[in-house]
Amino acid sequence: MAESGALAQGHSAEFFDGTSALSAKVQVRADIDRLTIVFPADVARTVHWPLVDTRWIDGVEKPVLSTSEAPDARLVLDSPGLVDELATLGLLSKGGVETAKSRKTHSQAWRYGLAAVGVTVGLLVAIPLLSGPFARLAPDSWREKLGIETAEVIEALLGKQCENTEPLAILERMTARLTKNLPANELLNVAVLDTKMINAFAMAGGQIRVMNGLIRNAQSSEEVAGVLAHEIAHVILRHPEEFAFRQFGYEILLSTIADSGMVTEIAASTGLLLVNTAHSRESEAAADALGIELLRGAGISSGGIAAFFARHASDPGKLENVLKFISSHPPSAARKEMFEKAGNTGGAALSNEDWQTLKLACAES
Amino acid sequence: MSDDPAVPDGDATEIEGSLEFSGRAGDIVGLVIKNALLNIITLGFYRFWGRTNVRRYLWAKAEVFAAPLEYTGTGKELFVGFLLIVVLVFVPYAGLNIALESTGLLHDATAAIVYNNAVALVILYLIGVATYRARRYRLTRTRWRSIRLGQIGSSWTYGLWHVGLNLAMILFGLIMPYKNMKLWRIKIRNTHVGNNFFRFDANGTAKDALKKLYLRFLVPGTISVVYFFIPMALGFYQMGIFLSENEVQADDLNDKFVPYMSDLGGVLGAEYPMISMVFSLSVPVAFIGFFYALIWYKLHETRALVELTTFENLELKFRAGVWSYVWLSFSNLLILILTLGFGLPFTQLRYARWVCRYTQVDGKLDLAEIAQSLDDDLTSGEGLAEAFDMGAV
Repeated sequence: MAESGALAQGHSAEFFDGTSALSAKVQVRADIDRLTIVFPADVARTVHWPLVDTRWIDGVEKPVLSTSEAPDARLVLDSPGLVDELATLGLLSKGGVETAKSRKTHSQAWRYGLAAVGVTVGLLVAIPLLSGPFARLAPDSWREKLGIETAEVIEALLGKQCENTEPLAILERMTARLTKNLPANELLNVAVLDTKMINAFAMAGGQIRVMNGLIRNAQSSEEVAGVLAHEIAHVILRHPEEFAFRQFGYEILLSTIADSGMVTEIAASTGLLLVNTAHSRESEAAADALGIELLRGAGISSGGIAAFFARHASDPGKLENVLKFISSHPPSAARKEMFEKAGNTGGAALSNEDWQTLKLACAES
Repeated sequence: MSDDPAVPDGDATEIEGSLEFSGRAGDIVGLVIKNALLNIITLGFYRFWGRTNVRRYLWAKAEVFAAPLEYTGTGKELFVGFLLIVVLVFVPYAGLNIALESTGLLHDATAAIVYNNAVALVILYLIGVATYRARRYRLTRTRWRSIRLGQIGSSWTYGLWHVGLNLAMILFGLIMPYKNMKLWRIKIRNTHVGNNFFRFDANGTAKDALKKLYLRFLVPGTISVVYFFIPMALGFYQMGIFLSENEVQADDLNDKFVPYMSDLGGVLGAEYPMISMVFSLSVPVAFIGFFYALIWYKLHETRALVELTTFENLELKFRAGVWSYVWLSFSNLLILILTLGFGLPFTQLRYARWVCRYTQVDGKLDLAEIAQSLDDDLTSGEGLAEAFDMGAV
């Protein structure tokens, strides 16, 4: 009846009948289509487990078997010899965890670790690499829609658009002067927001918002022109759209660990933030370079924007130096130097009269 | 007969021992990478199966009195639970929002505030319910020496305690030690191994323990009152003066109020020079001191709660120190940041090892006393009961 080899031998094991936590030492052998479990302490007792109902549920330390005939019972074998042979013969289906089984593989952890780093870095490279081309391929209709939606949010948060027509016309002429060498169908919509913040934003679809605080703070019209040229450069380079695609890619990456707990998500977001700001700094530098070209094409001096950054380099914004690596913008002092080096010796951006009018963009009449 | 090693010794059904965790990060590197890749390919839907595989490994590596735990949960169960959450919670919530939006009820500022607070309250309640259900799921899917673990009690009731006590803590921070003991007590007393339940406060010493905890709680409590609540109260007082002296309209919140608030520190400095000087000089020390004191308190609280917990004749002790916990938390956070969250199983493994290392079990357990529980069928708990398994492990 019995077959030869490991199957016919008795294998020592620990048997739990599933009614209590007590176990019994048993001997197990395989007979054709079933396991026979004998109890040396209780010769009269023998248990049979049909192989078709038996499952190998645990591959980690000692092999554990269960049977669908008695779901609560467990058979823990002292050594893997019997189950290995049964599994090889295809008589036992194997479940459990796929893990490194021997201690030798522990030393392979380094290789796995490097592979993990490789995959992560690969994704982090692939997402920004692809988001650039995607951004350039995006149709204008989509860009316009995204831009208007973003602008609405920004305006709700920071302030309404100022509607004084004369200053806006001046700003429009300045924009036209900066973009005269560009294709005529380039989407652009420049507006001023009524807030004291000293800043300007470029959004998808050519939406540019200059904060009134920036205009009020500027010492000359060249400063405003310099900032505007920088934002137009972002639009031409499709940075807002690229940012949107990149963010979308990261969102997908993050969603894969969703519901792993708040700390995990915050930590993962922090990691992504660090990666993202590195890309933002690249974009800022590229926009600076193109901005200088636009100023040169318009015959406007880049001395103004250099002065603007010189002033803000000495701001009490010490935080900027502390957070140099987290900040999405290159340090102001470094940018000031770059604009000075560009040596744009063009003329004024606006006549004095126009400049005084532009300053009243949000003034109440 | 009794010389035969295979014969169980008739009288020796009592065992003693410890908790051991033998899992190693190197073992699951492959598993973590596989999970991460499949998660990305499936837009995250593989996570239920990935998590199950990680749990199987962690459970198998945790040995209680030399016998490993067995995890019997499946990815499918977690997935079904997730679908139920979507159908029973997210879809109705989205529907309610759309309905309210279309009626325009929420355009009224007061109505919107009431609604948002009600939603926050319901979410806080559901988090309590979810915590309890997730715990029940994990326990019912755990076996030790073939015996199923389990948890009875209503998750809806637990959710009420959870929301009530947490609200009370927001209003009155000093309730924290009581709250933590109460919630621990509910969970422990409802936990069973086979037909035997864990016990809490078997010797009636919980009240004394709570008194001692309150003495310890005075340390982080005092620091927070001095360095947080007093400046906050002064700030509100000054803000009130500013608001009553200047007519601030809703429209100039950005222009007047925000600049004022950002300068509030300066205002307080001018109004209370002595206090603010002492305050600003000692704030860094107090900040570190507060976190140290809070962790120190938290560990003592855990020790006290663990020591009040018994099972049969077994008594538990927890002996972790503050710095070991600080190091564990800090290094785990670093792992999460550097792996963008995909390294979560490594942090769980390290946490399990830390808990097992510092938990001590005294006494003898009579295995013959631990019988399989019959009224807690595995299959009956499926579906709705597991709908909230959102826990991290």
